[in-house]
Amino acid sequence: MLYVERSALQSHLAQNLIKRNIHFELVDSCQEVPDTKKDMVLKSHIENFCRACPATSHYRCCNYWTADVMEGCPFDCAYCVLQAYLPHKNIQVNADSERFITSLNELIKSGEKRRIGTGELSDSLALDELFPFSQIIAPLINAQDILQFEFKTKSDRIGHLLNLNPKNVIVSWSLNPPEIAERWELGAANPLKRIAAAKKCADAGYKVAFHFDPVIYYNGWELGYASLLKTLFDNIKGSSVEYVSISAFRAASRLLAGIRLRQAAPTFLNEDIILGLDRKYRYFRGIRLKLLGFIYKTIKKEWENVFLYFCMEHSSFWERFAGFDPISRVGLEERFPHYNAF
Amino acid sequence: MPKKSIIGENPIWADAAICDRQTFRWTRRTLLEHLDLPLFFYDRGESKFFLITDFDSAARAAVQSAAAAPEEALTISLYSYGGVSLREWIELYRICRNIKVDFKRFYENHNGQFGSSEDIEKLATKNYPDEFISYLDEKGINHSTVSLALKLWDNNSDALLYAVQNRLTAQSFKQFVEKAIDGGYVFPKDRRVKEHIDLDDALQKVNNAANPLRIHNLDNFETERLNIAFEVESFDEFSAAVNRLNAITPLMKEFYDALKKL
Repeated sequence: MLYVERSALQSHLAQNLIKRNIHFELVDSCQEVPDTKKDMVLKSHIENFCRACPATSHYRCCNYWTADVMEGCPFDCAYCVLQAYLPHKNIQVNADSERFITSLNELIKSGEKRRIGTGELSDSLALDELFPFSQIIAPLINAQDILQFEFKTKSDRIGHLLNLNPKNVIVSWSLNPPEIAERWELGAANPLKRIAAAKKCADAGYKVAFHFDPVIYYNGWELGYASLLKTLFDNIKGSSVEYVSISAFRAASRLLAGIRLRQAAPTFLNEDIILGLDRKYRYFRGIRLKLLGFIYKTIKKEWENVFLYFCMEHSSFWERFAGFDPISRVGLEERFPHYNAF
Repeated sequence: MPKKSIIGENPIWADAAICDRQTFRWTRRTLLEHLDLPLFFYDRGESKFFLITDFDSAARAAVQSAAAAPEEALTISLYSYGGVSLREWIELYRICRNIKVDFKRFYENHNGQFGSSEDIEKLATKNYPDEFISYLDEKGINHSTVSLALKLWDNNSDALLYAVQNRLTAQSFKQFVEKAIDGGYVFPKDRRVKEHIDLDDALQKVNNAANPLRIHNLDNFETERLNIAFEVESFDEFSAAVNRLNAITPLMKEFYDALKKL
C-alpha cells in the first residue's frame, strides 16, 4: 500500500503520482503507516540527504558517499544490514527532491571529486518506476564532472536509464550465485536477469559495476561463484566495467541476532564466524582468504585492467592480492577510475 | 463479547478517536485482543482525553468521562486493566512520547516491573527482533534480568538467541544470563574450520612449552598480533622468563609459518 504525508502532497514526486493516477492514501505522519515491507510512504524530509558512508574501523574503506532519497527496500535479503540499521521495515521515500538537488549541487560546488549513490539505505532502481529518481539525478550529474553517481541494485528495472545520457552515471549490481539468491535474496531479480540488465546498460553506453558483497560461504561455493563469473564474463566486456567490489558476509551483533531469528534461519551462519577487530562478526580469516582470493584472481585473469577493491577488509588482504596497502580511506578512494579520469 | 470494528459504526467514536492515529491504532489492536480493556482516546482538536468503557456493543459504546490530563487518562486505563505486559509498556512509552507525558515518572509511579524506564525506552527505540521482546514478555522476565539481558545483547547476542530459541524458563534464563555476563557462555557447537583448529592447536603447543609465560591471540587471528605476558618478582624470575622466551623461538616460528599459510 502506498501512502503520502499531507505535508509532502505538493512535492514533485507526489504530483507525479497524481498525474499518473497512482492510488495512495493520505496520512498526517509516516508514523501511521503500517510497518511492513509492502507499505511505502512518501514523506517530508528534514535531514541531510548526502553524507559520508559510516564505514568501519580497523578495516580499509573507500570514502564512499551516500544519497539517502529512500530508507527501506522492497527486497528481503536475509543478510541485509538494513534489518538492524533502520528502525522501520516499511519504505520511506523522501519527497523533497528539490532540496536533494540542492544537496547534490552543494557537493558539486565544493569541487571535491566524489563517488555517491542511492544504494546504501535502499535499492537504487527497485522502485524507479514509481519514484523516478533516475530521471531527476541523471541530468544533473551529466552536467558536471565532479560527482560520479552510482545506481546500485538487485533488480532488472533499468527502463528509465536506457533513455538517459550515461555520462558520469554508473549502474551496478550486487551478485551472488543463483542458488544463494533464490534462498536468501527474496524478491530480488534472478542474478542471470541482473547480468542481462547489466549487458543492456553496457550496450547503451553505461559503465557498469559489480558488487560481490556479501560473498557467502556454503557447500559448493567455488563452483557456484565460478559459474556466476563465467556467465558474467560471457556477457560483459571488461572495458565496460568501472569497478568490482568484493567482500565476505559480516554483521554487527544486533544484525546477526536478527538474521538468526528469521523464520528460516540462514544456514550460512552455521560456519566459523569470529568477532572481528571492528566488533562485527565475520568468517574466520582463513575462509575469507579463500573466498575473496578465488573471486579476485578469477576476475583479474579475465578483466585484467578493471579496478577491484575489497570493501571493509583488512590491509593484509590488499597486500596479499593487490600487492599494496591503500593505508587510508583517501588512499583507497584515489585509486578509483573516477579520480584518474580528467 | 462480540468483536466489532469501532470505526465507521458510530461517527461520535470516529470523531473522538481520529486525532492521534498511532494511539488509536494501538488501542484498537489492544481492544481486539483484550475486550475488557477500558481505553482512552485523545482528541487533539479538543485537547481532551476520553475514557471509553462499555464494549458490549461497540456501536453504542460511550465516551464516559473526560480526563483533565493525559497522564490521568493513561492512569485510569491502566488501573482498569490491571497487569500491563512488557510489550504494552513499550507501546505506552511511544504513546507517552507522542502526547508528551514524562514516561519515566509515569512508569515509576506505576511500579513498572520489567526493568528501569531506561530499559523500556531502549526496547522501544532500538530495533530488537520481535521474537526477543515476545520472549521476555511471555516469560515475564523480571526487572533486573531484563536489564542484564539488554546489557548482554550488546556484547553477546548469540548467547541470548540461544536462550530465546531454546525457550528457557524464566528461572533458567536468569541463571543463563548471569553466567553469560560473567563470560561463562560457550557456543553449543564448535564450528571452527580445520585451519582454525590447527592454529589454535599450534598456539596451545607454544603455550604449553612457554609456561609460565602466557601467549594470547588477541583478535581471532585477524592479525598476526600476539600478546605475551608474564609476571616476575625478582631478577632471577625475569631472567628465567627471558630464557623461556628464547627456548620457544622455534615453536613461535612454526606458529607464524602456519599463520602465514592461511
